[in-house]
Amino acid sequence: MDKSKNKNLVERLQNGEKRAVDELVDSYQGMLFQLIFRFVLDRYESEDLLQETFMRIIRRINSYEEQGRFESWMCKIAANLACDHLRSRKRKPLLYHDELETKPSSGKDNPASLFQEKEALSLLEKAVASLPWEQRQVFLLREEAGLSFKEISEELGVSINTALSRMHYAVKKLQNHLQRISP
Amino acid sequence: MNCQNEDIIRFFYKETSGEETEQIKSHLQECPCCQAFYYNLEDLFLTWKRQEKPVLSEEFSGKIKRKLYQELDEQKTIGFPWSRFLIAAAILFSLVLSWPLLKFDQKTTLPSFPIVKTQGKTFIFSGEIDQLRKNVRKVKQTEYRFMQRYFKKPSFHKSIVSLQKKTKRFHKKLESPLF
Repeated sequence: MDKSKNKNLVERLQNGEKRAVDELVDSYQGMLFQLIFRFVLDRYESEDLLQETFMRIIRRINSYEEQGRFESWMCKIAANLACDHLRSRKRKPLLYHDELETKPSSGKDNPASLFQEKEALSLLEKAVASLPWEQRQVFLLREEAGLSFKEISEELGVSINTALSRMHYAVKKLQNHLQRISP
Repeated sequence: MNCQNEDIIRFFYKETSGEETEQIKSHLQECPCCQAFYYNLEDLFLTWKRQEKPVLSEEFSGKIKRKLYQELDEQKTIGFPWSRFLIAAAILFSLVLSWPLLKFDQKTTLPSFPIVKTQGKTFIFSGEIDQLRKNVRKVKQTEYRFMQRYFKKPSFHKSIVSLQKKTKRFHKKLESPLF
């Protein structure tokens, strides 16, 4: 959604229009759910957190100032909730991949290559899940939420260099994983 | 330019300034090590992007929307300060009602509105203390003392009993109803 559309959406939400709520949910539920799911790796918990994210967005919409992107603002709320949730859960996230209803990935039709790709993706997902918490946080905020390193550093209360260095370590580890699984 | 993988990452995400971008581009052409890092980075993110995307059911979207409508309605209700308005109205109303109680006779420090009437055997005063003073001297003095005591007593019942006794005595003394 472009900037002017977002501005209009925010104004309508601030005026309490119910149609704007529909638009908000329809446009952003996928993106936010994906972000939350990558953090939490549990469908049911992700659904609860998504609902809470939208509630917070509605509650705070009047305090939203048009400084950054609206998407970034929403992603920050979602990521914060996911991080708080993981902190309170105090255990390593588990993969419930079988429970996940997913869109079929487009691409090769060859069953062997499809299986191979699925395997590689699954391993990559596990590799991301096994990253140290700080590195995973930066990786997902950059890759899934689309926050810039400046926004990530502000969000996490660290310097840009620290955020970049965490990303670097994460990338290195994931590259090693990819190299191991690729033929 | 030195090999800085962090800079390559920033370049990959298009977070470098114009000058930096040019520097990194020329460095990438010269440095095979950084080039490899860049291509691996690209490969990694292309793989990550191919991840299956979780999909929400229509039913769940509807549930979220209903919750959000409720939240919007609540916010609208909260938006108008009903609670403050009601509190202010209640304070004003209680002030109006209790105004006579607050209005004290400066001379006697007792309320100037009728307190007790004398009707048959039920002894309730109905006169004002100033009137009592002017009309019946004896009554005034005793009554005044009584009234002072009445207001000091903690128990209302006791005060009424005492009031009845006192009033009976006045009746006998004066041989006429007070009012």
